[in-house]
Amino acid sequence: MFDMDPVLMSRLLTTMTLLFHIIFATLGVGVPLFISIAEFIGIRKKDPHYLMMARRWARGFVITVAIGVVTGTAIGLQLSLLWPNFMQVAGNVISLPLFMEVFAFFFEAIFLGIYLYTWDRFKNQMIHWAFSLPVVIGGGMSAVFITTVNAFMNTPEGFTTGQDGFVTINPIQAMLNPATPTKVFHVLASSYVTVAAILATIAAFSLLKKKSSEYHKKALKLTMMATFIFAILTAIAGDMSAKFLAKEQPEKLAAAEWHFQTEEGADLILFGWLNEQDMPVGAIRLPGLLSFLAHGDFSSEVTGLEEIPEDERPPLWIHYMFDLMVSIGMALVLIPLLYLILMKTKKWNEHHKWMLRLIVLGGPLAMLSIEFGWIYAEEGRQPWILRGL
Amino acid sequence: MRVEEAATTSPYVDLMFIFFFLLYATLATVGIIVLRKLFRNNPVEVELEKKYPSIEKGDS
Repeated sequence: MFDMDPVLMSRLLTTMTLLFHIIFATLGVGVPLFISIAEFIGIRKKDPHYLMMARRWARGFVITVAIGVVTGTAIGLQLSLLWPNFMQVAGNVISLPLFMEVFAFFFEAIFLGIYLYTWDRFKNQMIHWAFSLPVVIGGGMSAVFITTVNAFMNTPEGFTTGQDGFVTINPIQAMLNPATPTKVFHVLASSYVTVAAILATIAAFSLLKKKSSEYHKKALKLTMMATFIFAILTAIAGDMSAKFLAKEQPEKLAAAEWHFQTEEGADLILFGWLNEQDMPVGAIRLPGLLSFLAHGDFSSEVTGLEEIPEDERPPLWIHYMFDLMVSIGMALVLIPLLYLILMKTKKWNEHHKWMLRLIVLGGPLAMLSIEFGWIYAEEGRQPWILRGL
Repeated sequence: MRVEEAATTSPYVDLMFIFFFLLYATLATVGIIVLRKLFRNNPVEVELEKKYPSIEKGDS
C-alpha cells in the first residue's frame, strides 16, 4: 500500500497488538484471584466491606475482559495471517497448548458469567464464592498454556527433524520444554503482583481524595500485603529465569547485561550507555554479581556475546528494558515493605499522604514493567522466531 | 526459523496497522469512559449504604 516492508510492518503490528493485549491479559489472570480472596474474607469475617470489594472489582473486571477478548482475537488472527510460515511449521508441534489456552479462557468466561449473576442467590454464601475458583483457575491456566507456546519459541523441543520438516512429534514434551517452568512461574507471579499493585493504586488514590474511608483502608491493606508477597515471588522467579538463560539461552542474558567477553567473576552492569567501541560507560558496576545471578557463585564463568555468531545476537538496547523491569520489580518489594513497617509501628501512620502517593505510582509502574519485560523477552530472542531451527 | 523467514509477503500489512491502531484507540477510549462512569456515578459509600444498611454511618 505505502510500499513499507511487510516484514517490518508485521513486526510493528504484532508489537502494537501485544503491547495492548498484555495489559488486559495480565488483568484477566490476576483480578479473579483478588475478587476471590476479598469475597472469602468478607464471608469469613462477615464484613460487608470485603464483599463490596469483590463486587466492585468484579464489575470493573468485566469491562477489561471484554476488551481482552477483542485484542486476544486480534493476536490470534495475526499469528496466522502475519506469520504464516511460522504457524505452518510450529503449528505441527505447538498447536495443542494454543487451543487449550482458548478452552481455559472459555472456562474462565463461562464461570465469570455464573459468578456475576448469582450474587445473593444462595443461602450458603460459600457456594457463590466457589464459583470464583474456576475463574481464578481458568485465568491462571490460560496464562500457563500460552506461556508454554512462547517458551517453545525460545527453546523448541519435542520433535525430530526429518527431510520434510518435523517428524516424531511429542506435543507434551514440546509444552514442557526447558524454558517453560521459569517462564510460567515468572508470568503468573508478575501478573498477580501487577494486579495487586493496580488495585492498591485505586485504594490509595481514593484515600488521597476523600481522606479516611474504612473501605479503602481495608482494600489498601489487603492489596499491599499481596503486592509484597507476589513481588518477592516474582523476584525469585526472575532469579530462576536468569539462571535458566545462563544455561540454555546465554545470548539473551549476555545482550541484556552487556556482557561481551566470556569471563569468570563477571560484573553486573546497571544502566549506562555504550561508546564507539561498544564499551559500557557511566554504568554502575557491581563486581561479580552477574556470575552470582547466572550460576549462584561469584566466581563462576558467564558466557559472553563474543561466542555468539554476529548475525545471531539480539539487539543491545534490551539492556535498558531488562534494567527498567528489574528496578521496578525491586520498587514493588520496597513500597509495600515501607507500608507494612509504617503499619506495624504504632507511632507511625501508614496513610501518610507521601506513602499513599508512592503507592499510587506502584500500579502504573508495575504495568510498565510487564511491558518492558515482554519487550525484553521478545527482542532478546531475535533474530529467531523459533530459536536455532 | 528467523523472523523474516516467517513473515507474510502481503503488501497490505501497513494498511492493517492503521486499522488496528484505530481499533485499539477506540477500545482504550471506550474502556476508560465506561470504567469512569461505572465508578464515578456510583461511589462506594452510597452503594454500601444501599446494600448493607446495617453498616454504621461514617464507618464506610
